[in-house]
Parts: sequence; structure tokens; C-alpha cells
Amino acid sequence: MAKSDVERDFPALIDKDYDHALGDLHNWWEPPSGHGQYWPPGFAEDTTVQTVEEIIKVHGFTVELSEEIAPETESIAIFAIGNEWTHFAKFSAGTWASKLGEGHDVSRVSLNDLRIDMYGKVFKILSRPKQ
Amino acid sequence: MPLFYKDDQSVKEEVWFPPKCRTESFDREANGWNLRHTELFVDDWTSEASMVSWNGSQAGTSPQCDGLVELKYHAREDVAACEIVALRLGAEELRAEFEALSKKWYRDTRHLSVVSRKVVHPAYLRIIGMGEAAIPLLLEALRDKPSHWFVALRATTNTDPSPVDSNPSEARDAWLKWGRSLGYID
Repeated sequence: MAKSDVERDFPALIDKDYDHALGDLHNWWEPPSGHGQYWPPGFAEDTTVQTVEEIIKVHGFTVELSEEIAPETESIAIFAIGNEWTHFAKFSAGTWASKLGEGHDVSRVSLNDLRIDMYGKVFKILSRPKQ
Repeated sequence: MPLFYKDDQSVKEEVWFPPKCRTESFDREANGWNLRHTELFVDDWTSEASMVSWNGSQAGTSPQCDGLVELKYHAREDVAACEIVALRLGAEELRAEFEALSKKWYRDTRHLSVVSRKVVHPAYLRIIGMGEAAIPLLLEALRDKPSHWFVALRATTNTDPSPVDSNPSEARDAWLKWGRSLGYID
């Protein structure tokens, strides 16, 4: 996907540098698990925000943050429409980054940059506890 | 394409299934007619009774003999090969529509993070609705511009050659290997 395509759909990203990869580059996390998709065992095979939150917490992101507070540790923002998870953004090294579907990975963005109809709203931000 | 006749000992397998059957220029209507008849009579022709008359000097050949088994095998294999050619020709008729639909689907859903939302897009559903004829086009799309075509492939082929624990890249490789082995793509 061309950079111009990203900018057409996410006007807020124009002129920002967004080349950083994020997260698990080999698996597509989505239930049901198998045949090209991965879903961690032991969790309900659905994409409700409750299930997604459980999974993220198991990976150590246990502290809930308000959107108004800048994260100080690695964090994940869960986007949702209604009760259904739609998207993630990850905060690390002082900046938010995200993988836009099958397309570009973007970095140095704000959560506001990612507010588009297909992602809905930020449901929750979960951070790793401070050491 | 000439038909072959049960009692015509001069007719060889090459005549029954001429090379042009495997090209894109064969007469689809005539070929389809012959295919239907070939399928109907493959078992009859290779039964013991018909082998006696068809095979002439080799009368008495057992239906279990290697030659007979091989003949049956190749006859069915050639019928299957011709069916794939016919399917690929059918796919060509859908190519323009497929490309327009796939572009629209990709454009509308490329930023979605959830496959289950991508695959309910009307363009994707229309592609599934094309049925078997879409298989070569789906495999080409998966080969040339990898995306989430797995759901459509499973729906149109009624199979899944990818390992259960495969990631998207491995699943893609498995589908392409499957498609090439059956002649759906080059």
C-alpha cells in the first residue's frame, strides 16, 4: 500500500514518519485459531472487548489509564465499536504506534490520529505497571 | 474433436484426449460434449467385456491387470485436466468483474484489523458467489497481492490445504502449492 493511500484514509498522518513495525509480525490474531489465524488458547473465541482485555492483561498490561494521562510505561489502547474490538495501538519508547490492518505500520502518532469510523472509539488503555 | 468408438481398435488415447484439449483454444462446446460422454463410458470401455472387443488381440486381459488400471487412471486424469481447463476459461470471463470487486474490497477494508469484518463486505461476498470459476482468480490474487482470500478460497473449494497451525504466510504457501498441483494456476 502506498504512503499516499494511508494519508488519504488518515489525513492526520500526513508528513509523519511511520515506518516502524509493531508486535507479532508473523501471526494474525483473530479467532478462531488455525489455518492462518491465531488466537491464544484458553480464551473465549470471540472479539468482544472483555475477551481482548483479558488477553492483554495476561501479557502484563494490567494498569488502566485515562486517555488524558500520557503513559509512562508500555501501553496498549483498545479501540472498539460498541462491544466489539476493532483495533489496537501500542505505546512504547514515548510514542504511539499502530498497524493499520494489512497495510502500513504507523508510529509517532496520537490516538486522535487513529480516530476514524472503522475503528470507533478508544475503549480502554492498559499499561504495564511501573517498576 | 472426434468421438471415439468402443469397437474402433484404431483409436488411440491421444485421439480421445487430443492435446488441444489442454489449450485455451479448444472448442468448449464440443469438448464439453465429449467430456460428458467420456465420463459416462470410461467405466464401460475399461470393463472386461469391452476390453475384449476393444483390445482385440489382447482379448482376455484381466480388468485387474496393470495396463487396464493404468488406462482407467489416465482416462480419469485427462477428464479432470480438461475440466480444469474449462474452469480456467470460465474464470477468464469473470476476470474483469473480479478485478473491479477485489479492488473495491481492498480499498474499503484494507485498514480493518478484523478479518471477520473484512469478509462480509458486499464485494467479497459477490466474489464468493462466483463459485468454482473464481478459484483460479483467487489463487492469482493470493499469489500476486497477498491478502485475506482464505475465507473465499475455503468457500469456493470446500477444502483447506493449509496446516491447522499455519500463519498467514504458511497458509498462502499451502494454498498456492495446492492450486499449482491441480492446475488452477501456473
